[in-house]
Amino acid sequence: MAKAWRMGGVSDRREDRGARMDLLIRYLAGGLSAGALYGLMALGLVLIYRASEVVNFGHGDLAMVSTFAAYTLLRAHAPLPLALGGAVLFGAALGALAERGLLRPARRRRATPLTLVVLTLGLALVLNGLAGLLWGHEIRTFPGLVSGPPLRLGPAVITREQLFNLAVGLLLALALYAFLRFTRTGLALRAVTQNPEVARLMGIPVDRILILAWGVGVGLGAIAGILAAPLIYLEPNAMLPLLIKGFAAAVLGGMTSLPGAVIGGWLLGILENLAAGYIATELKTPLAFALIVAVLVVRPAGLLGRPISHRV
Amino acid sequence: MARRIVRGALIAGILGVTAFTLPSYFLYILSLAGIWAIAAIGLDLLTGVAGQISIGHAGFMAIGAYTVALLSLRLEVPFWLALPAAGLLNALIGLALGLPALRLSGPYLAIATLGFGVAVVEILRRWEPVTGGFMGLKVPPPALGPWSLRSDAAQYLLIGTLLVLLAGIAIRLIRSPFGRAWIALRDREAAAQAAGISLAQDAGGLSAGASGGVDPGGSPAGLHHRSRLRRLRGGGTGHPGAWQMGRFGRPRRGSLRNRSGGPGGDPHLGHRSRRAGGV
Repeated sequence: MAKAWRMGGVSDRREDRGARMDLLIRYLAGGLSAGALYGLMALGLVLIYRASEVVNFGHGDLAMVSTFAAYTLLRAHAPLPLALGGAVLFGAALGALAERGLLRPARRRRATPLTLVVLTLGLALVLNGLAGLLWGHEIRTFPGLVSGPPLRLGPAVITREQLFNLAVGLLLALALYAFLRFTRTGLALRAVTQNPEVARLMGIPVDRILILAWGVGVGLGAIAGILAAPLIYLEPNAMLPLLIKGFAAAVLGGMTSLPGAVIGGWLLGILENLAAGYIATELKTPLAFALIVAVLVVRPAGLLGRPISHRV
Repeated sequence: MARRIVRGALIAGILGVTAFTLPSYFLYILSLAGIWAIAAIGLDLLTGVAGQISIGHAGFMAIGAYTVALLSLRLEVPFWLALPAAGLLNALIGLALGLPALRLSGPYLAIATLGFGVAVVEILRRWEPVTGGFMGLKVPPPALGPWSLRSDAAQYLLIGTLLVLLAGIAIRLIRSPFGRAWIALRDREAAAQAAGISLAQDAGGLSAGASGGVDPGGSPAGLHHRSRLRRLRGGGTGHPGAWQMGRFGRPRRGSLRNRSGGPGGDPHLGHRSRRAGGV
């Protein structure tokens, strides 16, 4: 009855507009928080790509395995910080191991970038198969890390989980920036991304820096996976959409730009949430692909990437 | 000429004898192997010869499979016509995808094709009125004129014949001016990275080998998608054929046109590949 009263009438139209505004804000908030996770994924991809010139197609599966590690630790009643920290360290160690045990030997044998990329694909397949063997293919729920009623910030409503993901994404991006900007190791890493040969001549331990880049990059991916797992379900193929969106965010940001990766993630998250909200939910993954192609057609260097040129 | 006839007769003899002597389950396994072999030939042309990575071949294969299935189900197009039609469609899509990605060297084609593969599977899964969604489609066995290729042996013969013909065409393509252009393209990039030809070939072999696994394993949807294709096959089907069309996906052509763009190169190549499709 009350509903019938509300139909029509001037004040109701205003209310209607308010409701639409609320919805829009909700989509934006959801998009930003999902985008923070895409940004984390993209940060890892870009860091690894810039340091080692390898596009890491194993990133999604490395994140998946790390998330399963967190899942197993939580199931064994490990305290939350220990489980999460352990899983992220595990992911970082796996990443470092991939560089040390897989890519470096290949590079020593003068493998081309093509070969290295194929190696990361093989790594993805192996991890995927192993995870299927170890944890099975049934779909599992991953416990949420934060709970509680949604928060009201003025007109906007945002869930605690969204706020948490957004904050973690932002803090990690800032931490990475600080690390690269203010530490000697960070400086060495930047030097390696600019010119590995000269960096080596300057006495920078390039091999160790590469291991570090892979560890940090995959660690970021692991965090993204653990934060995404409560929102999706956990199974060996669960992180593939996250990987695609990480790539889309990275390409959108320019593939070589770290701030670009973060901003690309946010943009992708918002775009996808708007498309899902106003057009159709099914568009989410195809949209990421369409965005990659659109960026390649319109502005291959992305938003913040340097114009593409290469040494011959 | 005589040697070619002898060789052809030998292959035909082996195919014929095995089709009638091996148990049916063996033939089914061999047919699957043939399908993946065809896919691998396609990837090898792309990666091994032209030096470009595609991770989205599952998407091309799926499009090929669904095109043949839908054409024969909805429009009752005969198999021998649906097969090249699927190839043509994939060619156009591959061109559209390959052109933007290949203007840039580096990882972009790989990234774009990864997204492509996943997006295609997602769309096929959700577009229920057309594709049957998760349930898939039940497709009649392929028919050549009055013969319905229902039995495992008949499908084995079909796939085996296509494999041999496509392998032959691939070899001729590699030896043709276009193949030389691809190789030059690959080598130039390789040279730019101060690496040798043989390494690039290694990469090609590897990726071709991995590709079979990449579609199912690498894509999320992969498993679904693969099982769905199987189900499609369950009815006995055109997919085997469609698959290879799929993998004939055109990025290669895009690459050729972009990089070397010799006069008249493209139409010729199109012609050839279409012929490959028409086999």
